[in-house]
Amino acid sequence: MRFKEIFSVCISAITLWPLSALAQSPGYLGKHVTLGYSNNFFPALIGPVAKSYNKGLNSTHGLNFEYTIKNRTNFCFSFQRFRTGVNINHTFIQSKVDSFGNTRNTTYNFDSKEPLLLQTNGLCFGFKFFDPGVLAPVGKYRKFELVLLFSKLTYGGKSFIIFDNYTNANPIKGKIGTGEYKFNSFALTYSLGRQRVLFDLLVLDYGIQFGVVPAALVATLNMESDYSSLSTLESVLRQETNRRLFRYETINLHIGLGFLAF
Amino acid sequence: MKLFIKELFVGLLLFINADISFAQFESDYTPLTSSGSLPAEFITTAKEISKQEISDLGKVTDRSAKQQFIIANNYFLRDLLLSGNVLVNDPLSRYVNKVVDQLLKDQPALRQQLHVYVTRSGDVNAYAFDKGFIFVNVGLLAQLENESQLAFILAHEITHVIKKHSVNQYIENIRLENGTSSYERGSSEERNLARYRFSKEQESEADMEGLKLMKQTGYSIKAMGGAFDVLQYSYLPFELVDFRKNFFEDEYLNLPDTLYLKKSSEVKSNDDYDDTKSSHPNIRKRRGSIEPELKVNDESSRKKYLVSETEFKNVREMARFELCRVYLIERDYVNAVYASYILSEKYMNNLYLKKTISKALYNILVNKPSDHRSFTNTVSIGNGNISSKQYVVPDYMNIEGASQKLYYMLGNMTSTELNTVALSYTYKAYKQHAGDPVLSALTDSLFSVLVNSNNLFLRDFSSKSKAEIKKSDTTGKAALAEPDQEESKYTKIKKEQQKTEVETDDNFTKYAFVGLLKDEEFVNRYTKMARGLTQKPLIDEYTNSPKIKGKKKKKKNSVPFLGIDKVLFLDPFYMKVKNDHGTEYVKYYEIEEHQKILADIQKKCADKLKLEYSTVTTKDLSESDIERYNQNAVLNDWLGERFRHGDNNSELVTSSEYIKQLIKEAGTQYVAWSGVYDSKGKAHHCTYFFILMDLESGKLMKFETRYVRSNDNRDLITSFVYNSLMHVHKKPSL
Repeated sequence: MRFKEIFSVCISAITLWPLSALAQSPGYLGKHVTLGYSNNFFPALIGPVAKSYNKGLNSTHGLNFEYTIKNRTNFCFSFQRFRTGVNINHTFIQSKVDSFGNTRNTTYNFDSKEPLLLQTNGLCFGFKFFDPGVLAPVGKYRKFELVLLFSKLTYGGKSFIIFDNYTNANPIKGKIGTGEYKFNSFALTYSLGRQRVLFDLLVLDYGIQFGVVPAALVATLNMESDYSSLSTLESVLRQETNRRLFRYETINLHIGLGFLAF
Repeated sequence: MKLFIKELFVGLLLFINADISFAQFESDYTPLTSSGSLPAEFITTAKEISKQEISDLGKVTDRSAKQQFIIANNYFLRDLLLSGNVLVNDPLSRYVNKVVDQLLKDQPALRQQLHVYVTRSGDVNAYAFDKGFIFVNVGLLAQLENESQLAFILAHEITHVIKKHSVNQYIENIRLENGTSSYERGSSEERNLARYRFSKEQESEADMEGLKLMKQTGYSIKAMGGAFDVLQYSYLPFELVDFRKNFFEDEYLNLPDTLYLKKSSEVKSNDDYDDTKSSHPNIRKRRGSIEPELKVNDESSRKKYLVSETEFKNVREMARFELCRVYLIERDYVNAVYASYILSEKYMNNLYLKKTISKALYNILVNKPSDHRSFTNTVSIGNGNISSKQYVVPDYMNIEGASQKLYYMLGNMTSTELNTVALSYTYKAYKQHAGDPVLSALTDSLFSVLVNSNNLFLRDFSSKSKAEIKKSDTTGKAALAEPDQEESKYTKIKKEQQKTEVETDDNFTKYAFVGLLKDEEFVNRYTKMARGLTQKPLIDEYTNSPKIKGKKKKKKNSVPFLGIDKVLFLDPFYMKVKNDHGTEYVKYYEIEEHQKILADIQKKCADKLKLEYSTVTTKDLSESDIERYNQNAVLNDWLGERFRHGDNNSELVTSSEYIKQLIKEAGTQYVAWSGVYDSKGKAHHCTYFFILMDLESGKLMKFETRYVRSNDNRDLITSFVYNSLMHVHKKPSL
């Protein structure tokens, strides 16, 4: 394991050093690579946050790598992570046909003091295009990014109350227990921002980001007989996750601090 | 008897002295430079002086306006003093100061407040600053008839100082702008005119008070009257000497009469011109108001010269020589030729004058459209554009006086004709002053234009004179008399053409080099150039090659790397302006500070890139730094001249010959100048520029501009500077 780590660091250095040294773009004082931390944040106006239905702050932590490839263009790669909550404020029915040929409807009622926990890791690839006149990495920019979102939605033991209508007259009431689902999705983001270099070393980055999660749009457009009898818990949670991600990515303020590595 | 011997001795001494003074111009002339130690005003920063003066102001009326005036005045003054155009402790300044000494003999306190300098400018002008600074242009000294005229002009300027005219006008202008002036509160147009009226009143006052001051001295009042003639005819050359075309001719080079204006136009200067929108009253009014006061009882005891007639004439001659160079720098080539021509009448063998004429002819030539192909191209270097500034000989119809003939001739000559004349003149000058590197290089350059631009080779010039051809023609006719020798139709046509050529002045260029073609060196140099054996001087490899139709133009790296290891940096330019509802306020204090920051950034970036860095700065001058001051002056002259050429890389920077020493000392031929213009209005606007020049060839190597709607943050400027220097230093990829 240790060998692998050292090997990958060496490979990265061997690849990046000549990229930097032979670059045709100036970078900042000859430095083309910026490593840093960033935070996207915005008040959770609609959705819940990780552990509360009350209004809170959505906050995404990110580790960034940026490389100046042209006079006004940076290639950006970042790893980001955030936690938020998902609230399902409706009931849905899942229909099943049992071995006797009878249709069994299970009604799911979301009933929890805490929202469902959505933990998402994101991998972002994109480009920053700096304004005419300036030279990367200093000045105003526009950034386009593709964000691959790997989400894990966890529900606790008391999250759902189910009513099994095996006998309509006397439905069985129960809880489904704990569980988690993993969903993959992606978002497209567009940012407007500005970078400053402080003390010829630190890179301060701030701006605003707008994003869309296409999967959520599709789901909304289809207005799937959402919570129809054919819905499964997984599909419902997937949709809810995408919707939550959509709201999460729609608008964010952004601030980051990095350093000019080489 | 004793007295007679003494007078004889003094007379002899003066005669010898006069002879020595003018003998110095016989063979050559060395341009003026500053010497001695630098006065305090060159060393102190404008900020320091301004702060001191503002604190000395105390409680006064119009304090804010006065404060603004002090700051603006000090910064303008400092820029002027450090521009390199101001001469310190040179013969001209020393003489002018002696005249001021005479004027203020009885006012030592006032004399001590005055700082009088001569500036290298061709304008016929003198001007004063409130703080006691008076500047007299070389152009004025070259035109004066006597010392008394100079004394009157100085007295006029001294009055401006005494009466504090500059500050009063500044305050009045502000009041007029605000509509609070008691002088005029009418419409905007009326207030504008009031400004001129106010200024004219001040000028009239300066004339009258200046005359009063003159009367207190022993200067001739009658002689000073001509000062207004000097001003009225200031647009004419310093002397009117008929231009003769034989100046460029020799036994074989005969200029056709069609290039020579038989009669030059009369001088039609009007002294009663409309002065409504002029800062000075017209000459007739000035003369008229002063004339009644000119009568003095003691005129007979007054003198035209109180300092020295010899010294005046020597100084005027120096000013005239200096003016030839100033004309070249100011790109006034025909005037440079004419001024040199006038002086050549007296100093026929003067190398400086010959070089001036050759340089001017060369630069007129390279700006003329070639008879074969376009010689001047547009340069595309970096992302910036320098506008094309083609020199055109002014229309002779707009010229008055004797110089009109020269304008006519140079304006009407074709490129080939001018090339031939210039080469003939330059080569003969080179032979006369064998070994002069400037004339030698110019000869090569003229050969180059002849071959590369005008497509003329040795075979295009006749080695036989017209007389010789006529003679051989007669012999041929005699031979033809033999009945068995029949002449073909084609031979007849050729002979007829040659006859026309020989009998008329047409195609005079063909016979221009008959004499020179007997010179082995001339033929060898021409042949070498034609074969491409010598380096093509002044042809620019950076010029764009013409587009070839049908072929796709290869994508060119628009910002090439230059691979330069050492650069000489000039003091950066910085301008910070606040734009308040259309009115711009210069933030003077911040300028000095930011200039220093930009210089530090340049140093840091150069260090990062391992680009060797040296500077010519005037920011930290000390008293003993006169050499550095002179270096800066030379460099400023060079740059000023080069910028006037715009993107014309083929034009010769005539002051290059004086910059060799600087290149040697700096260890590089590349000079860089950068700057920032930051303007804050509703939004911030920041413009950055970077210019790199090759001092040896005059080439514009790099010109970069960047404009952003942002303030001039340090990191932003750093990124710009680093980018510029990276392109300068990085080796071009193969």
